[in-house]
Amino acid sequence: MPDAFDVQDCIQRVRSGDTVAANALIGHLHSLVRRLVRNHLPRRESEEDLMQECFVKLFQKLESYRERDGIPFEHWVSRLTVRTCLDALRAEKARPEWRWADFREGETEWLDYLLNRQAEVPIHHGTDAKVIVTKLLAMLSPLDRLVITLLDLEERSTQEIAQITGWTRPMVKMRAMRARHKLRALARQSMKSEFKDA
Amino acid sequence: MKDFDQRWQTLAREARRCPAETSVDIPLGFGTRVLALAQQSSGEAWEDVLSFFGIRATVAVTCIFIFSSGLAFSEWFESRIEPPMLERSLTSHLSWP
Repeated sequence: MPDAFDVQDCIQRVRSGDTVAANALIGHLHSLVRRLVRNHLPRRESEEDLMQECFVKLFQKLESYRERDGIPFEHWVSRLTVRTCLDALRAEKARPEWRWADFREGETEWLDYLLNRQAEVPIHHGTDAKVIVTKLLAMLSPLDRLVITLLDLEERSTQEIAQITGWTRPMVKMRAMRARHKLRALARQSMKSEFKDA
Repeated sequence: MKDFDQRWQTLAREARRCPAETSVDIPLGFGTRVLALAQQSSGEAWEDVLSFFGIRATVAVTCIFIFSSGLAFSEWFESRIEPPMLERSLTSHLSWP
């Protein structure tokens, strides 16, 4: 059985300038950071560039990290990564406006399902669902997108989101509710463009 | 809205089921690049100061500043109010021997 990775020991060694330990820490956190970056990636940013930015910030701020009882190091890393992604999303000047013609057949079925009470669940492959979710979320503001991604796609609790964002739990719930309202309005707007285009 | 919420949850569930692209390898030279960049720039000082003191502290200082400014202004304003003319003339008549 392989030895468990000792994060705190590794952090100490990184602080004392051990590059082997730094590479080991990157290896340990790589999949976590990649998953978070993928979920909160701006449209025009490369995944690898943003991951690099996250790790650079991590090493720069490692001195300020203090171990707390019961709170794993990975929480601190998640918070830092999400904030870096949020900054990148904010830096994105324009958000897309998808029109009906921009969606493929499977995606329009999902859009129809969202807004039409009589529509049945589409039987298409889940890839279409993922694409339409990504497209709809890209139209939201960075903070709205963040809360919906954390809550509905990453299935985090409101407590966890409060820890990551620094908001209170009622604020998380309120923002999620407002974000879903906006999402519905944006989906309707995209659907209306079908009639304008015709 | 409730109907939309339920349908959105169904869509989100379907999107979660879709497997993520499985490139889990660390790019070649990634660690070296990260460490070099981290050593090159040692973070933004103002950001560190702000995160150290926190937004709450900034708000508290602003509130104290506004309160003390208000207090100083009211003291200055009161000192400018002169006693009414009638009171002054009465005082001068009464004090006449």
